[in-house]
Amino acid sequence: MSRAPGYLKSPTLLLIVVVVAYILGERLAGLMTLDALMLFMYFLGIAAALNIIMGFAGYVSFGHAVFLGIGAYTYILLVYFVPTMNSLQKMGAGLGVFAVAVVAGLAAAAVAATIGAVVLRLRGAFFAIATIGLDFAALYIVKGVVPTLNPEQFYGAQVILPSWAIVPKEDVFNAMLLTFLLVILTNYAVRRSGFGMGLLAIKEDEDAAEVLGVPTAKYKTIAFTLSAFFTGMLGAIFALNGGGVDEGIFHLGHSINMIVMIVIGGLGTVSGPIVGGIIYYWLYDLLLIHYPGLNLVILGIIVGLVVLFAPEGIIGILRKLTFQGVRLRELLE
Amino acid sequence: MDVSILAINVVSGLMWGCVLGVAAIGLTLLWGVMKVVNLAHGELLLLGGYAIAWLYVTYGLNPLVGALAALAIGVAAGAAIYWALLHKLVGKVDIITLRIEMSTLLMMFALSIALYNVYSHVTRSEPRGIGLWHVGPTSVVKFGPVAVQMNHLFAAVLALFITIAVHLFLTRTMVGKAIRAVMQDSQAAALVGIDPVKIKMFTAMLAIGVTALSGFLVLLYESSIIPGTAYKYAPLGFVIVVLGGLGSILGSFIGGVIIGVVYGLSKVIVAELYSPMASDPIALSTAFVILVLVLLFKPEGLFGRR
Repeated sequence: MSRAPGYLKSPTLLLIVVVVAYILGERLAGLMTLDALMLFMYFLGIAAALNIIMGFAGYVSFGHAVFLGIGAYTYILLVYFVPTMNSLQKMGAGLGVFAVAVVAGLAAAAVAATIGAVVLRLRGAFFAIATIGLDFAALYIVKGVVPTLNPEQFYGAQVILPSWAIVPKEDVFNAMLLTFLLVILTNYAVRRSGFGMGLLAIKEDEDAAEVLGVPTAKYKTIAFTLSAFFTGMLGAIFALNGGGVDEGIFHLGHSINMIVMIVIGGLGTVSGPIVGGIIYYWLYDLLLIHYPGLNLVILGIIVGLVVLFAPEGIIGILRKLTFQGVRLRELLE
Repeated sequence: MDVSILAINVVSGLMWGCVLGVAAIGLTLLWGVMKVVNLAHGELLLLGGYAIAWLYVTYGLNPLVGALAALAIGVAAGAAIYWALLHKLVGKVDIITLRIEMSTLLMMFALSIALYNVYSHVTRSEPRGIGLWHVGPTSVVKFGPVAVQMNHLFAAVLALFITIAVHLFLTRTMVGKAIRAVMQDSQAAALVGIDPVKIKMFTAMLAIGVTALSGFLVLLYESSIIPGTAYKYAPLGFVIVVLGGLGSILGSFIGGVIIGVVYGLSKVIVAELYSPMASDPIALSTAFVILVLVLLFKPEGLFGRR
């Protein structure tokens, strides 16, 4: 059996490089609109962000949209009410946007580190239900509080950015690309680290992991906080690109997107959310064009089929295949 | 603060709570017996509501008869869902692991996306209802200073009736007793000759039947439904199930009443202390704060067993 070529030893890195090259190529060629490319990165990004807690640690957070919402509202309200933040976001061809998005991500991370740490005591379905509860609590609080902040200007909980707070699309794109790279590389780094090993141990058997000396509570909290941080940043930039935010950002549909991508791709790997994200984005686009209105029905059926017949996702199927006598699994990891 | 405003809000919260409580019975049964967290609960609730509205508008069928039709549809849907989606995952296993639990969660989630979008597609998200059927929203009953809408009162009374009926079914019939036995210990139940697979199927039929039937109450209470109504009732259902205790019918009903009354009370308080504009959403958020608190400090709920 000949040794696999060097680059094949880490197909994950290869995949990341290909995806980034594709995005940059499309950007230079200008065939896809900036909006479409940003949506692509946003999809892959949120899947990768949720992957840190759901894929590695096995905690399915159904209410992850809450962090998208917190990030988005923090960003939009900051640039709306704080003049320094508004001038900051216009600096450095996207670096400013990135900086404000970091602040928004920190807000989401703060919620995750405090409330999340408590909720993470729950396991399985109870954890999923609690995160849904968190999402709805935040949704209703935003619906109640935001309209009172500026009753003359805000329509319900909807905040539309006025022209003085709009940032050129190219800048937003740069910030999105930067965030996207950050979240993917963090995924990769986590997977390779002892911390990531600990998370996988928690997924396999939390009690056993605890007995063997994995600081489970600490690891879970860090993973949840990291995941919330990136989700918040992506939500912020997504909202900025949309020119504002409304309570729809808390919709469970956003959580659906993230979970579906990870489930299609395969849990617990770095390439899972990327592959799943690409397929989901492509399917979403395709079904939206050909079956508008029924696209999500079809997606629901696909998810059901994946759960029933391919619980390990596409990466799981690929791992079982063999390639010139070498199990792809050995090549992939 | 005006006392009568408080009284009106508490009473209306109480009646809504009865509806919420019944709407959560199906959820608590499925969760209690086979650890299936029915994320499609809201959509299955609407299945009943839409069936009643459709039969009424198209064929002029009396909604009370329509409610029985909804029950039948729910029972059939329950059997179909069990065999098509759940049997492969939970049918033959006695101890349901976290992994299976997650799979069923995703499975029901998939059903929920599919159903929700079928509804949106078919109704174009326009409201559907039974209009001003004879207990329409116009008629009002007065108890002293408290005016009560007739349809709300009717829904609450019916809710009480359904709760008692389900309770009697579970305690007095053989099938009901078997369901409770499987809920307590599925292996021991199998030892005394109860077929767990059959009972799981019956549970799914009963649970989803009651869920579809309570769609009638939601229809009465809301007077019209849109697909988004699912997103109001399903999450509140989770809160109630956790608060009342898994598998407890009484707990579900009382949990619903508590959530309803707390909603009514906090609505008045928020309007008084903060802003009337914010009162409704913030009052709804209290339910989810209760959820997280119960999960953390009394995870077995009010009437549940550990």
